[in-house]
Amino acid sequence: MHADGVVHRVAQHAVSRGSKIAVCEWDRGSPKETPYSELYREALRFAAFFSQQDPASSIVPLLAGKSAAAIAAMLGAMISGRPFCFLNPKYRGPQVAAVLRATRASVCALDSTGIVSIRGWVPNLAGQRALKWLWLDDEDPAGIAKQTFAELRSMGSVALHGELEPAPESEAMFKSPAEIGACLFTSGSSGEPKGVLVSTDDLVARTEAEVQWFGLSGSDVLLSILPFSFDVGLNQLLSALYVGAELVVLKSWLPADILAAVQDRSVTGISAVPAIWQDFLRSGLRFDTLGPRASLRYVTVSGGSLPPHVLGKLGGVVGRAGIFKTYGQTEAFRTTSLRPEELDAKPESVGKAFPGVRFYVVNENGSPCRPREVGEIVHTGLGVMRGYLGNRDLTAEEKRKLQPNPFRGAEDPSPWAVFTGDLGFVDEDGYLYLKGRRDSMAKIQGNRVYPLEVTAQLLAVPGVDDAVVLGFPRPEGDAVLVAFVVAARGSAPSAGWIRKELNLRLPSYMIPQRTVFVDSIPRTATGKPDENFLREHATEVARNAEAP
Amino acid sequence: MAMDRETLLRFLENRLGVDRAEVDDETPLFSSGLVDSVALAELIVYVEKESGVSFQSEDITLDHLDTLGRILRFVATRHGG
Repeated sequence: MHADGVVHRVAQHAVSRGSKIAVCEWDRGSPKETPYSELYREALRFAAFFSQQDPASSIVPLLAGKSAAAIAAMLGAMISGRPFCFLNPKYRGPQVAAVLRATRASVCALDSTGIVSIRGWVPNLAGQRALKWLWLDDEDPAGIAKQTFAELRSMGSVALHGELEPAPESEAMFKSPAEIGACLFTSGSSGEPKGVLVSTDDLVARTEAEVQWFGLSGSDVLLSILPFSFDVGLNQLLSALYVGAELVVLKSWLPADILAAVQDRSVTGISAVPAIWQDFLRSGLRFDTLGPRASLRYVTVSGGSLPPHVLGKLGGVVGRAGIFKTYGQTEAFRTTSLRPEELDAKPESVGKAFPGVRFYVVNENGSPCRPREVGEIVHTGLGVMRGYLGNRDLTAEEKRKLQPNPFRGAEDPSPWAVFTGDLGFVDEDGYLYLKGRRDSMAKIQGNRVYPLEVTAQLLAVPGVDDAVVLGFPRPEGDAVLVAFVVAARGSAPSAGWIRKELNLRLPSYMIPQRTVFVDSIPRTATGKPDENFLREHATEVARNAEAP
Repeated sequence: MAMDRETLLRFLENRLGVDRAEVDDETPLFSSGLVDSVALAELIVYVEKESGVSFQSEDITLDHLDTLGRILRFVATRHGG
């Protein structure tokens, strides 16, 4: 029995301070508050339902927006000894079908947000095994959800949250936890999402590490902007529940909404990705961290890096709140983090090892690199995944991802290591710096070029609002660097002007040969540039350019 | 300048790929995931051009932009209507 597990903590909060707000679904004027006692009660109802409906103890997919009901369903899965998996809200029918197939789910939770993902696709889900749907909302579906809901009903069984039996508030409801606690889906190079398996023990350990790192307590109020399908968003949720804090969930990603929610709920901590902070800088809005109602204590820059000159301006937005940079990936959770007090001295670094983690930078022969020598980052300890879900064929990259820990010994007992595929180096003080993806490195005129480095310089060019640089390998000869550029509002930099500016900042072999202007950089749900989309787009642009 | 319901709906349909049969005045567009968040910038540029209303950073909220009805009401308020 995991007496220190997240659900046991929630059970304790429900008893010792049941009226404390656990979840606030924020909306201007009409926030919906759910106290710990109610969250726990609903979790037990869901647990009873899962135990009854799913004798196989399969993974419970949660195709739902961020709500108290969805969180209670997650806790219900945990209580009933089942792994859970939140689905990326951007998924559509084919990806949802792939997840349902891979998880062999017999129950899937759904709400008015999640149902948007499968509209027009229900007939294609008929091939699944008999799947039970659990409708999480209190209200019957309205508007756009109505027709899809009717289709689901006619196809199979749909249980309504409001009609579930009440469950006894007893620890007897708790089943021994599954070895696997959660499954996180991430985009796979094969085109189908792949499930990353996280053990229950590791899920608890990451939560405790985050609580320690950010100094969280029951008096914190955390703002949730990121989806729970993303490891950073999920861990923020688990940490808030663990300490009995309030989690304010936001449907919006817009600066003015974030600012209003922070003021309204006295938010103390925000986890966010670079794209959100870039929007903030463009908006000119800033947090009040000095006035009598100031509450914000820390923010994170997770899931990607902000170029140094942009990071420098972020201080003006967050005032006295501390900025934590974090670096990680789904297969290893969090490798490093840079503390606010280190930011001035090491602004370009992503920091040192996260609690419970060890990392190594290794060269092509697998030996540790010297300081400032670029190599692949290898992660051991906390956060290492259990492997990928299912028994499909792994790609070469997936096969090399999880390997026996080559550095295993008295100092590092971790049996497995994640080969991140990320390149970086450590400085003389042990701080890590990122240099892009292993597979993104391009050889140009005999030089190693890291597109991330070019992107950083491109973003510093006046008139460039957003940008990403990708290397396109060619069957013969050097790779071609292509810059995707979003022009700032009210300015129209030409490709020639950008090239001229880059000439002042970069060696000639690092200057992109082609510039493609786009309205916006498409990003994945985790805020990373959608490289696959951009690669296709570039091919299309090239084709059109060749047309007469 | 006028931006009526029909022009706005046509923009949502032709540029943002929204099926008009699926939306009414109160259907959430962005918070529901029906329309991707990157399209918001496009929507704002369009509404500014068509209606003559200009958005300040403080105006760019889901309260003003998440549904057809909200967008039309915001524009009407700014026109003093």
